[in-house]
Amino acid sequence: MLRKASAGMDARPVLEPTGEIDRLVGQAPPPELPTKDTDGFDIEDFVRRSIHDVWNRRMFGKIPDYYAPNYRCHGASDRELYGLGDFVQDVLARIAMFPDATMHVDDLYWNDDGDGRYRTAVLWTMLGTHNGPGVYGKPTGRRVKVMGITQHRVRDGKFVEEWTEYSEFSLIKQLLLPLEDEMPPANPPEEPNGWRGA
Amino acid sequence: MARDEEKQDQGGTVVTNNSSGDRTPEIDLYKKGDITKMMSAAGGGRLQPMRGFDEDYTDIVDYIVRCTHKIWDEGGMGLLYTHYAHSCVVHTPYGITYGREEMLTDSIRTLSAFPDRHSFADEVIWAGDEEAGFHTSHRVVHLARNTGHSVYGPPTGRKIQHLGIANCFVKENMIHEEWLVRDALAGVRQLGLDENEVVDRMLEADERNGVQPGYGPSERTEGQTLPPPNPEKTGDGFDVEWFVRRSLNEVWNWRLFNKITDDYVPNYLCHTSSDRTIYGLGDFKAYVVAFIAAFPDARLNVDHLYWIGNERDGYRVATRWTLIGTHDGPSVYGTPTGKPVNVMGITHHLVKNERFVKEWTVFDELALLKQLRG
Repeated sequence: MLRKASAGMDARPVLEPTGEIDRLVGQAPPPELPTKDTDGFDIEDFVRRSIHDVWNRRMFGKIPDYYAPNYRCHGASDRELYGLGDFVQDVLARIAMFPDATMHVDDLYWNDDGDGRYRTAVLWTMLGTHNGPGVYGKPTGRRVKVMGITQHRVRDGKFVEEWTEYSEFSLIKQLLLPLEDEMPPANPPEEPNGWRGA
Repeated sequence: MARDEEKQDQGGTVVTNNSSGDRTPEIDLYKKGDITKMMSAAGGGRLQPMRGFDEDYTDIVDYIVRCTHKIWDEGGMGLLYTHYAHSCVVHTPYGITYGREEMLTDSIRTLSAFPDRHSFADEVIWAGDEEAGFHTSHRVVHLARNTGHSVYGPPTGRKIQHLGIANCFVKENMIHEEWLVRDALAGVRQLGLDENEVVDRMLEADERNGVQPGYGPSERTEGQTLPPPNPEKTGDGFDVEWFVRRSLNEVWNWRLFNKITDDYVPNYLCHTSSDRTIYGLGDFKAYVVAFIAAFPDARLNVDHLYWIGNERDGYRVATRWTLIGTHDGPSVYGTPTGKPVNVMGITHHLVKNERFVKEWTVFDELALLKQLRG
């Protein structure tokens, strides 16, 4: 159901959450991806499986299996992360803020540059509910949908560098933009929500 | 599914590990060595029957220590899906958490606030077998730096170090029920936060969520009669379970503080919440008496007790207890509020030569403060 934002703001309809994000079926664990049918390194399986394992199955311990130790991440809003310490903390913080976060790969293609080198482009969508603490301030209980694109460089079976873009401004709008009074958000903040940039 | 039901007197329902029997002495944390030794021993075959457990675990102590390492230190949070039952029940001093997803949310939240958190296994006391399930009491020292946002607010950058004990009921690789206590007040203080403010915010959140506080009166004495009787001693020879139950009942319920001199060594060492170390019986008696002074009708119930060890090496006993009482007396907790309290705690004792030698007690003083301010 789409509702208009209050007068005075850009009057675009704001998505209202309905239903549970379907990362899981009831109380079952998140499904695993089917095992790949090819031998050797399969770039598509590698990208899809790594995103699913880390983001959907919460297997943060597998990050060193998929990412090089000196991983360089050029993130949204000018974030520059170097190494897996930085990278793991970034992933953790995001899932802590949106505990039901699920990541969908909407589109994926790549260039095979030979010698085990690839350049990949992933169009992804992250859905989540703002129920945990983090840089965006007190949990608002609002549902967010983030569309982003990540380009990776892959070398010798691991991600070595990425460039990620998504609109963090759009994300914050989804947290703060007021809905109509008829259906207030689940956990309304009592005071102005203070956001400090990362 | 059936869960192990604790009765007030455990009797013969819990299988205890005794190295003078035919049980493998290596199923003991003290004999395991460094974590690297445990990791290289992984997958080397079972030291005890463990139907349904992942193949790389050699025994129940190995399971507890290495799955904690896999999940927390290595970040394998998704392993909760294979190590916790979907309907698991987790008891904490703040209430009961139902289900695996809640556990996962809470754990990721903690790991995000403390990404470099290390949980050093200090002790694993255990009982049971693959048929009945295993009971494990795992004492850890948490070391972490607060570099992420937590439920308390933005990162403080401070380092914290505090104890925690987790009692688990495990069957076929899955934890079905857990009792988790942390020295939370020590953590909050080390973060440089005002504990009263933290508690007040928790109470506000509870009110918003419609959580009802309150407990009934303590049942230490039935009407105007006596505290509960001591357990019966069965058999000859030293019975460590009887010793611990009898002593706790006499000292804490019968207020016979003189029994401390009989039951404890003179140079007794007690590590207790919050971040306190008490040495010697003078200080220890003062600690016990101060508690009872604060909660004059206090009653200590032993909810579950199991042990490992033997006469020669000493016994290591895990006791899960509840102290219920009314805040009617003066203490460090300030002016008596008259509020009823329910303190959930776990103690590890070392008993040697028929005396208590040292203990590690964890109870949540922040949760206690919350009950007093509510």
